[in-house]
Amino acid sequence: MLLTVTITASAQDGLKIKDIFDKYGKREGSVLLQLSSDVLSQGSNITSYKSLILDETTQNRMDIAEALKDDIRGKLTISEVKKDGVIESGSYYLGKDKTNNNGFILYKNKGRKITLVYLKGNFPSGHLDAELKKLKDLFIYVNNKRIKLQ
Amino acid sequence: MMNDIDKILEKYFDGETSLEEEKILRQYFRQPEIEERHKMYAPIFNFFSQERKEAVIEKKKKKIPVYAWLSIAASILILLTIKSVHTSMENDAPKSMLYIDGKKITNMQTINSEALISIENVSEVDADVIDSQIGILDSFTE
Repeated sequence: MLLTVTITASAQDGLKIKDIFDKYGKREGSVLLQLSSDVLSQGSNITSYKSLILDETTQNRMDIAEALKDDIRGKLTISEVKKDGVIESGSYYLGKDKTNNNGFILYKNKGRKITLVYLKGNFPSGHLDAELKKLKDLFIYVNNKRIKLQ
Repeated sequence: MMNDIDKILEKYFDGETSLEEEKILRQYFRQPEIEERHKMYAPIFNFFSQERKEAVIEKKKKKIPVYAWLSIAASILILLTIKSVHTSMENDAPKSMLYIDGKKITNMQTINSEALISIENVSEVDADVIDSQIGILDSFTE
């Protein structure tokens, strides 16, 4: 049991997409975003949210596809859309981390913009859409009211 | 009174005084007005009084035993450790941050609007998915 937990935790820590965030996060044409748990907890059960939006190039698309392929191997695919064998969008459940939070990877490639999200939360995998909607509603409200979430 | 003191002194030096009588002597020699002939004995009784005082102070000093100090030190150490771990955990908790084109953005409104864009990107239902699902449903109803 302990061994399983340790393996799960170390597997989460060694995600390949984390290298993608590091490699492309601070480049020209990239938007790297991380939201604190204090902000997230004001509207959802998501505890960690890290996002990378970047202009698609053949190189970064291949790098991300490779990392994604490794990270989601043997994991639960919540939803996935492929076109000509290439993933256009997908949501994947990675399992629990050492703090018992569920981990997810979200991917979208649309309009030559790639969005890659790694998030963790204290909710079942089936509630992912609902939690994202709650978070979206929070930021719509915050942006409309011009509230500065700290 | 003075005769009494003389008598008690005599008994004292003969080693025959009671505790009560010794107390009377100590009280007498503690006061400022002592008969001239008695002054030579004053240091003896003041010495004993002083020794008593020191003994009391010594006793008071010993009131907190070593293990109590160790307990206090251990408690302080535990509190400092808890505070340190708490601070460390606070520092480890990820803060909101945004980089656009490699430049760090601290404006919270920009961070919030970029957060909304990111969430919309990954949460919106893809038109292709809807089309494909409608297609599947149509195949059942045909």
